[in-house]
Amino acid sequence: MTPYEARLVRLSAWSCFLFILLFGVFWGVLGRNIPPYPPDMPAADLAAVYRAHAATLRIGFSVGAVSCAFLATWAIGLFRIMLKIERDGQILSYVQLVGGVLTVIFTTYTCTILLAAAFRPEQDPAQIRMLFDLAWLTLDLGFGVTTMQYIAFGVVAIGDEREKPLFPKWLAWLGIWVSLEFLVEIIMPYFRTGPFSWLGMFPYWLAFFGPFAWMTSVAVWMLKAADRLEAEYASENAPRAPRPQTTI
Amino acid sequence: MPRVGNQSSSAVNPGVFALPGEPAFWTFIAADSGLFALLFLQYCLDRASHLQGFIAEQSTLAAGIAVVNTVILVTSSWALAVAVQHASGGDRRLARQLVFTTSALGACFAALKVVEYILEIRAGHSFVAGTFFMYYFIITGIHLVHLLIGVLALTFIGARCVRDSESSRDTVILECGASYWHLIDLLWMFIFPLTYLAR
Repeated sequence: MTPYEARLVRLSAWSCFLFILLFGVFWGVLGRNIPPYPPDMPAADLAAVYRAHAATLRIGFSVGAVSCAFLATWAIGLFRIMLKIERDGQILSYVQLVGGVLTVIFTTYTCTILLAAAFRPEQDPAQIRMLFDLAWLTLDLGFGVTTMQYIAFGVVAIGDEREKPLFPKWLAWLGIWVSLEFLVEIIMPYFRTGPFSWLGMFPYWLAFFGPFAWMTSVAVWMLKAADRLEAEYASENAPRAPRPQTTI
Repeated sequence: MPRVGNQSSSAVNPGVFALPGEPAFWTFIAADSGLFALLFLQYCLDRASHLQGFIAEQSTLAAGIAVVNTVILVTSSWALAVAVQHASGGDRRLARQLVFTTSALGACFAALKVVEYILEIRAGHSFVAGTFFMYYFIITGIHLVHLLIGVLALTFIGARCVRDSESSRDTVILECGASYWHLIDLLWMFIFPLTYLAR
């Protein structure tokens, strides 16, 4: 990997940290989504919250939506490293990239749906609740593309034939597990209370904080991988010592 | 799981303990075990607060089918353990047959589980019938998905990785498959008493 590319890959790893920070602060804290309001909350109560906090909710969802772009740059940097691991065809590297980019669409769209609720907080409370439902159902059930991304990355990282792999294989297996844990979201729409509702232990605490912790770890190893690939490039392109001239 | 012969990681370094299969795969097994532990914990907490309701609904389950399924699963684990022993330096043809036997027993378990679900749903015990049946369908359903993945994986491993010529990579893959299958078996050993027997 050339020094220029390595520098950009490092930036893409940092963009992952930036996404988690911005999304956590704006969508999570200012957007009042840590934890989210329960599915069985009366519409009038939810509308009252949106009316009382419309200003902070708007900035929360606006910046939250924009921050999702950093998720795409992370996926692109990861893609460039995966190309150095996946020897044949490189289809899984592209699957990871497409999965990552499509995840951006779901997360961005979710922010804009919530923003629509905060944009006219004086509207009918039933409509605010419908937008809130739509946002959470979209965010939770859009996991298919993210699962695709994590599994593609996992398979490539597990198949890394280097003596010391660029990504630890336990991290790859953990990513596959995290992506499969998303499947619990399929039963989430049946519940408005309890551990399987959208703010319950399985669809929320595990399915949100697990991936964030995993992505942070992947980004840390991306920084290390960029250093190693740059060093590999430097050693492959080091000027060779001139041959001693022979005289007859 | 029994240790395998000359290709296993512990055999490479005799006297040194090593996990069967690929050590990193155990991260997946540990995380999955953690998920089920949380499920069991949540189940036990809800059960403690609705004890009479849980016991009343539990008593309507078709425990006979679950007993047969327990025997099937234990037998499948035994067959796979013997297969792993034979895969390294033993009778590889027998090992392949035993891997396929494990898959077939897993498929039997799944078929009986579907019959059990149909009986419960016909009796009016659906997924949304009550707290106990919610847990019953979720816990056994997630276990069933794990089992079906295991059946597919073992069928693939039997066909592709237990060949006449021995390779260390194939042995590691078989050991990973066996570790996963034993996890499914172990989880059932918690699910069976918790959902069918506990009073």
